[in-house]
Amino acid sequence: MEEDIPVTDHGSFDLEAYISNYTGHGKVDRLLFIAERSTGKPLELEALRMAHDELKKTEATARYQEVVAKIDGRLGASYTLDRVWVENTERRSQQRGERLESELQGFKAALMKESIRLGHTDLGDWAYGRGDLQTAFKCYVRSRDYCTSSRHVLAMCHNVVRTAIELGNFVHVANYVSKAESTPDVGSEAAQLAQLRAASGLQLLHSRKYKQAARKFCEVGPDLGTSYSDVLSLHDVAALGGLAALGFLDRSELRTRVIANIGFREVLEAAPEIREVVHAFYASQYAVALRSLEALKPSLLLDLHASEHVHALYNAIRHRALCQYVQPFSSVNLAAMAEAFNTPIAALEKQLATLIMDGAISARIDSATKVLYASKADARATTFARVLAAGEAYCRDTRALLLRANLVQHDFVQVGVGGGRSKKDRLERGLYDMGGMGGGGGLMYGLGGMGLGRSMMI
Amino acid sequence: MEGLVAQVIGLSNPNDLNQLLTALKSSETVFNQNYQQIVPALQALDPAQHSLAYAFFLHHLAKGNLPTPNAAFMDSASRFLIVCDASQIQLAPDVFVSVARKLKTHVLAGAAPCPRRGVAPLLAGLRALQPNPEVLTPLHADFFQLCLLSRCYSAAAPVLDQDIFDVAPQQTGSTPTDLFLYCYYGGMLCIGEQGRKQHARALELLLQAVTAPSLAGNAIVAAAYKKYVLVCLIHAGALQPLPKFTSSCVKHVIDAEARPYNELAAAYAARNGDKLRRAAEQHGAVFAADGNLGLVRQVLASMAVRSIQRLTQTFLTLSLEDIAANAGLAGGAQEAEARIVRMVAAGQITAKIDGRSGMVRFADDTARGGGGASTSSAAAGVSAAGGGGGGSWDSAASVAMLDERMRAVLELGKRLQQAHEMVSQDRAYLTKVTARERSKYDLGGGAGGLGAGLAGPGGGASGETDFGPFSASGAAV
Repeated sequence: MEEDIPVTDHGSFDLEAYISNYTGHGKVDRLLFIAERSTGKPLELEALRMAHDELKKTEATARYQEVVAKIDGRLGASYTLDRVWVENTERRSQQRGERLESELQGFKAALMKESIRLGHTDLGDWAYGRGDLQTAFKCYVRSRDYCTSSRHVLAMCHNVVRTAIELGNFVHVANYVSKAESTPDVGSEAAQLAQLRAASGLQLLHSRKYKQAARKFCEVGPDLGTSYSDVLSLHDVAALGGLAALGFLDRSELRTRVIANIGFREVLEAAPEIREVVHAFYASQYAVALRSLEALKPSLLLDLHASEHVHALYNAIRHRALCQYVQPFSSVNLAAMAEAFNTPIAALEKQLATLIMDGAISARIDSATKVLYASKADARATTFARVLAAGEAYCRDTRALLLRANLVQHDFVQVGVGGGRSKKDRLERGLYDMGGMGGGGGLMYGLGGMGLGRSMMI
Repeated sequence: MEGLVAQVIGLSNPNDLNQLLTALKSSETVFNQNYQQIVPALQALDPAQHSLAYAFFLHHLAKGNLPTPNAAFMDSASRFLIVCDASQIQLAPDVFVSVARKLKTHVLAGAAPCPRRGVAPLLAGLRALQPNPEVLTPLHADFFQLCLLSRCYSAAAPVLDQDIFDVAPQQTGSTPTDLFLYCYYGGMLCIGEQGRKQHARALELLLQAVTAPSLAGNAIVAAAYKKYVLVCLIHAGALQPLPKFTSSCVKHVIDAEARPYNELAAAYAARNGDKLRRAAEQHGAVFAADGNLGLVRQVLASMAVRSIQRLTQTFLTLSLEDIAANAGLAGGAQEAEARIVRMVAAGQITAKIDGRSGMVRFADDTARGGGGASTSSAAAGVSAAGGGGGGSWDSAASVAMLDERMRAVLELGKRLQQAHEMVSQDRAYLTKVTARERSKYDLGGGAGGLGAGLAGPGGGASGETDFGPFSASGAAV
């Protein structure tokens, strides 16, 4: 989804507090994302400055040069390109890389399995530190063949998943998360398990499987702590999980998985504002919930992972709120409802109309008096209609089947100028084709039932 | 020639017909040499009594260089087709069909073609050629074509309503092309006739044309598919996917030929009036070339009708402006009003327009079964039969209607059972099945299984599945 709506209000956004939740690459990525999203605003420069400071501590010279180019001298002399540092770091890093490489060759020659694994992992770490994600990914994956214990497998998976998330390659994330989850000792370390679930939730979120993502996030326990701070903070898990759950889980599931879930409740403590929203929503105080959601929107739009999905999630939450609001009433005054939802009547009417057409709400709108009437479906009439339609379809299919059987029996096949295949061939094919028509047979039982159903109804 | 006529008169009784047939078949040269005497000879014969010979005489008469249209030929052929004796002409279906087809050519030829003249004779000929009403004849397609050209939809109705279950190529000499044309022209007749029920039948026929077994794509299938798409959109509001037994070469032809139609269907599925209109305009030339412009126009109109019908399920009251905006009508409130008036008159929706405030009040029609948008043909038939209004399912008429439908279903079920039994007793089928079973269970089995395989047919339908392991164990022992 393209973000056309500019992020307008940054007044309340506390960059310092937000970014202190993260470390490592996650921190830099987020800062750069924020800078990109708030081009031309004071926030951009602040984010770039912090990114610059952060990068100076690492070996990622390419990234550093990128950021300096973005700053473009706007932050004074201390934020211009530091050539000496770049060259020094470059040289040091190069040497380390070469050393690691030659060590690895040595291990390989000596066929020392454990050392080869370590060598690959070290080389991956080095490339990761350099910001060369592709190489890092390759190195980590290569270490796979030399894993001997399940701890090694878990460590390898952890590295691969982290790199793949940064690369945005969520297929690999899914693969390696499931690989890690199927290793025997996965439950031994609570934090590691939580990390895997968070990563899996993130992957599902990005593949727009929101419902599953909500379930995955809700499984993340408070043990995650700050252990995954280079990818996700506890706050993120709470926010993404909470929003996805609001939008895509039904009421009972929302209760069991979010509100009554002790583990996730603790996670939600990390994001009190989301917790408030969830509780307000569950208590049917939609106006409150929607208003606080609106207030949260700007900061969510600045989040690396959330921003792309904010609109989808918000729409889903809104639709769910509308459906739940309408459900208990037989008639609803749209004016009152508009007030409760803090929306103009016309917009509300349009949204309701869309929901009715999609079949989410069974009701009809009286546009003249602005009242929504719930429409009770006539189960009897619909059943009759459906039975008749099924009967009709059965007759049609059976007629087609009988004719087709006859055509095959008489070898009544349109043949091209080329002559086609032999008769025997075609007969064989015809028999298989008839197998495809077998669906009609199943319907027959349905119609037997129709007779019974009819006598019961009349 | 005189000898032949005498022979005909002498042999035209039921017992000697076969002998006569051989004689007529072998006297090709007589006909060719005495071409001029065929007409006078015809005078000596009676079309009802000497039907078989009459067919041969007419056939050879038409084969020569007879100028079209020839009034005398048309007269005698028409009379012959109407009065001919079914048992005689069924001996020589090919000759009979060729006479009927010649009549069609003559009727359609000339400066002032008069297809109506051929309708009644062809119908009579078709009936005479059919051993029973469920059999397809080569004349079906020709008859339908004449009905189409002369707009005699009512004449075709009884033939159209009769389902075809048998093609019987030995008895009537029909070919796959006849079947395709039967389905195609039949579909077109159903489209031409107004009314929902006919659309359903048209879909059925066109689908039969598209899914009939075929090893080569042909133009009839492509044309039938195009019409199928359009009728599907008008009737059901969405393109139903083709069944999986559609032959692959047909799919190829469709992919290559009918892309504009598929695009139109995609635009329709998106419920976007503008997009649909654009698709229709963009491919207008193609639709015109295929002669489907009228149907495309109906598709466009049905889109507006459908969107208004959807509105009736969403709103109780709505202003005309909002209707126009929601349904994507370019003409604004006036067009919306005109359309609603038309739809109410046609019984597609129930609504009242308040002229002063410009508000439309939709009546609650959910009780009417099926509820508008996707009314199946069955439900439409019911609301008509039940007299409309709420609770139409309580009337005696609807019970009778249900009963009748149940009977039709049971009838078909019985027929299916018969077909099943016939197949399970078919020797060729059983040998094939046992062979397949044997190869599945008994990979190394040689001749040992053969004796068991021959014993198979007695086993019948239920035996065939149990049979495999038996033969396998027999071979192992």
